[in-house]
Parts: sequence; structure tokens; C-alpha cells
Amino acid sequence: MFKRINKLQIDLPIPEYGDANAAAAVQELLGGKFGEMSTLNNYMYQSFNFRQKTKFKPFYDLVASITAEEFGHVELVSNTINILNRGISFAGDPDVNPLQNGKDLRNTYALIATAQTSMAGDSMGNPWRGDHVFSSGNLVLDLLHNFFLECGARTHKMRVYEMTSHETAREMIGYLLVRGGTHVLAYAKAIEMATGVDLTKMLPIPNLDNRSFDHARKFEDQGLGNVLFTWNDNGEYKDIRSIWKGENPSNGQPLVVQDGTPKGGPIPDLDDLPEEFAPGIGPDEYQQIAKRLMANM
Amino acid sequence: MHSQFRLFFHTLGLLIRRDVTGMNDQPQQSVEYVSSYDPYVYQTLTSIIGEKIVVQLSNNSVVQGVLSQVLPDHIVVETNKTPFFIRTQQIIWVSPSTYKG
Repeated sequence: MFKRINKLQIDLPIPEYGDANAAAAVQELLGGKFGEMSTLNNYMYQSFNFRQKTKFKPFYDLVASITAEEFGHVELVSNTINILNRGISFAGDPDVNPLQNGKDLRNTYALIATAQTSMAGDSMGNPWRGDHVFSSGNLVLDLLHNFFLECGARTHKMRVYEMTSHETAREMIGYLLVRGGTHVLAYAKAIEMATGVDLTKMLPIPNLDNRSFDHARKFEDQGLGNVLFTWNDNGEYKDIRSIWKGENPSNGQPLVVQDGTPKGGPIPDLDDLPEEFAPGIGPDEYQQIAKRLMANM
Repeated sequence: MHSQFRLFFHTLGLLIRRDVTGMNDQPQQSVEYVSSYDPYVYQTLTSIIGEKIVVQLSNNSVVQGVLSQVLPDHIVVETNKTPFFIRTQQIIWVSPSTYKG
């Protein structure tokens, strides 16, 4: 089962300006074929479907613990999209067309369907699909797929980073480049354990260091590229230690397994949008709701 | 011959380069900066300083906030204590904010 922590994995900057078309591009990192919904669901189903979990426990622990991290990545990218979707519309009567800017934006779903928040789809508005999940049951094949998926995800992040200069998007991508690089190495090491083949010799794909990105350097300096978390408070999933050991080939620093989760940052709140009727509760209704909620406590 | 060239810098105002005939019939250049100015926009906006407004910009975005300053070529709108310096030429329309939230 899953336990939820009301925190984001990092403290996202929230400037007073948005960039709705950047939000549309960032959607690829959420619901694209190589987005966080894909990494989440791939590792989630692979961990559910894992055969001989005890016999191959370090591999099970790896796929299972990274699942939890990916859930937090989905949360982080969604929140980034929400922060980017501002400065589009204004509060006003329907007849003054307060959503008029929406018709010229790339993602009209953001205006029509989601009240200027994230959607479970890619940068072209296609819904995320279950056939992005690869769960063959063959351990080495699944690990090799995951290695490829992380490399593809990293490439897409680099390109979206190159598309937008918005601070929130860049901070999120900088962090996910570092964590994605960590997962590339984790699956490479798992393949090495399973087969004896040293995949780290062909790292990184694409051949561009995280240090080339201003917003990734800070997280590299914090050593986040060397750490795998267990995402568990009861000492479980610790056997990733027998895979995640030795040195990081990119910086020579020791690889560390850390119990639990990173400290994280606050979950951003969203203002009401009366022009979207969201949340659509007026002051009088709010009073009545509060009265009902407070009664018989 | 007397020739005149005009270079338009749409985002920076108007720059006029004049070729004038100088001493020894050698052409000399003088450059002068001419800023475009919407006098009635400026005058009207000056009358609503301190009010909550919505500003529609030419890049399909809006800024909502309090109009804190009006200058001949830009205005300042404050949102959550963050000033936005907006070039008058990028304004499509300005409307008083009807939202009382």
C-alpha cells in the first residue's frame, strides 16, 4: 500500500508570472510516452507483477522503491504546470469573455477541461495511455526497458528545458535531470548485477552532463545524484544496497542508500478562478458549508 | 543628392537616421531617438492610478493588479507586491477589475 506525505520533493519557486504555452510543453514530461506517468506506471506494474520477489529481492526493492519516487515526480510536474498556468484569464462576467486569451493558446484543454491545471496527457493533448507500460515479466528485459525509458525521459527533459526559461519549469527539470540520471545509473547497475555486463561504460545517453544545466548543478552539488532513497519508514526496500554500491562513475563519489524520503518543500496552493467557476463556492455558500463541517465535531 | 533613411525598430520605438550633406560634400550621419507616445492612453491611465485593473497584453496574457504608476512610455502594475513594468505599446486594452475577491 501507499502512504501519502503532503510535501513536494523540492521547494518550487512561484513567480508572479506564468507562461501557458510553456505549461503545454511541460505536459510532455507528465503525460508523454517518456513522461513521469510512464515511469511511474512502468515501475508500479513491474513491481506488482514481479515473480519471485524474495529470490530476487534487491531487484524487486529497486523497482518498488523507485515507483514511490516517480509518484512524487508526477506530483512535482503537475504542480509545475499549475504554477505555469497563470496570467491567462481575468475575473469578469461571462459576456466580457474573460477566457478570451485561451483560444490562441496551445493547450485549450487547460481552459476548457481542467480550469488551468494539469491534465493526464502529453504536450499535444493526447491522453496518457496504458500501452506505454512495459511489464514483460522477464527481469533483464524489464530492467533494460527501464534503462532505455530513463534515458529517453532525460532527453525529453533536456529539450523542454531548452524550450522554456520560466524559473519554475527549469527548477523542476533541473531536479528531475539529476534524479533521472540517478535512475539511469541504478538500472544500469541492476543489469550489471543480473548479467555481468557493465552498462555504465555507455553512460550517459545523451552525452551531455547534468552540470551543463544551471538549475541541475545545485542539485548535483547537494549530492542528490549519488543517493537512492527507500521511500519507506519501516526499514523496508533496503536491499537495494546490494545493487546501489561503489562509486558514481560520473563524479567518483560513493553511492549512498538513504532511509526514508528527502525533506521536500511545501505543496503550492492555487487561487480561486471565478471565471472558470473553480472552486465555484461563493462566500454565502462557504459560510453554510463551514457551519455544516463544524457541527457535531 | 539628398537621401533619407528610416529604420523602424518596432520593439524599441522609432529610430531615424538622416544622411545629411556635410563639409566637402561628404555625407554625415546624425541619429536621433524618437519614442512613440500615446498621449490619450497616458492621460486616461493617469486618472485611474491606485485602482485594481486588468491589462491585456499583445502576447495573449493578462496582468491583474493595482495600477501604481503611469509614465509616458510604461505603466507599473503591482500584483502581490510584485511590480510589473509594462510598456504602453504592448497594451491592447485596460479594464477596471470587477473582481472583489
